[in-house]
Amino acid sequence: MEVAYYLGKFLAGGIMVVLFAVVSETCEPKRFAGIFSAAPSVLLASLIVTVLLKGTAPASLSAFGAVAGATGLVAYALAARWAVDRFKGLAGSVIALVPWAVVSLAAYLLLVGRR
Amino acid sequence: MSDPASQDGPRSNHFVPRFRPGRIREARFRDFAVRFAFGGTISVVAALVGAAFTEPIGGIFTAFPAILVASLTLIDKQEDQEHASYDAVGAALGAVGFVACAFFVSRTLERWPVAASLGVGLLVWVVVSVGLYALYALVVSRGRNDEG
Repeated sequence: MEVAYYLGKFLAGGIMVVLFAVVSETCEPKRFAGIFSAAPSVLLASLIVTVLLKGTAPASLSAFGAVAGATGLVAYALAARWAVDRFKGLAGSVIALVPWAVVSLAAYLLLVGRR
Repeated sequence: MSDPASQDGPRSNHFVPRFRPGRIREARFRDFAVRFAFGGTISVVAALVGAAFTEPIGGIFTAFPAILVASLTLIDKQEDQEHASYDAVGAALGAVGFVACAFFVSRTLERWPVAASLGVGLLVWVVVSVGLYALYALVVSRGRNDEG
């Protein structure tokens, strides 16, 4: 059960990300194609597997957490625009993970507090 | 910083989305393999975090920018940093759509049929992201016309 669960997560996550990447590759300009870099591919793949093997209740909670993570993703993309200009690609991308973590955590605490 | 798209000529609209299915043949298999590995790994990490802590904390990691790190890095290697930063503009818009999608799904998953909740959730992402892109294109184009 557990092995099937994690294997399912890996395969579904990988396949969904590649599907969105294929669409992204066929789009121009880069600014528009960039939208697909922030597609909810891992979220949707992950939810499908959770629903199939564990039901809708944990999947719904996972989606709730994703609201916070996606808020952090907005911060990540904005920070990456500056950081990739300032530093080399990989370094810039990694530095921008700090605002992702901080904003995600702040959004999570805010959402949990409001619940 | 100059807009790389401005090299196409001043009169063409650089914001209109174009779909070129033929471009897929130019893409390298390795790039897709990297993305598959990133996507699969982060999906498992999110599940492990969810199991170790709580489901919502695991859910945060389903929005971990692994794909963005991969694609910004791939762009940076293949093209140039300017393109990577423009990709990040689109990503910021897509991420706002992601927030809307996740919010919608978290509210409907237990009340609607699963396929409907996820399908409409994806549609919410498309509408919000593409809508914001259209707004962004309009604002930036107008700014440029005013300058000229």
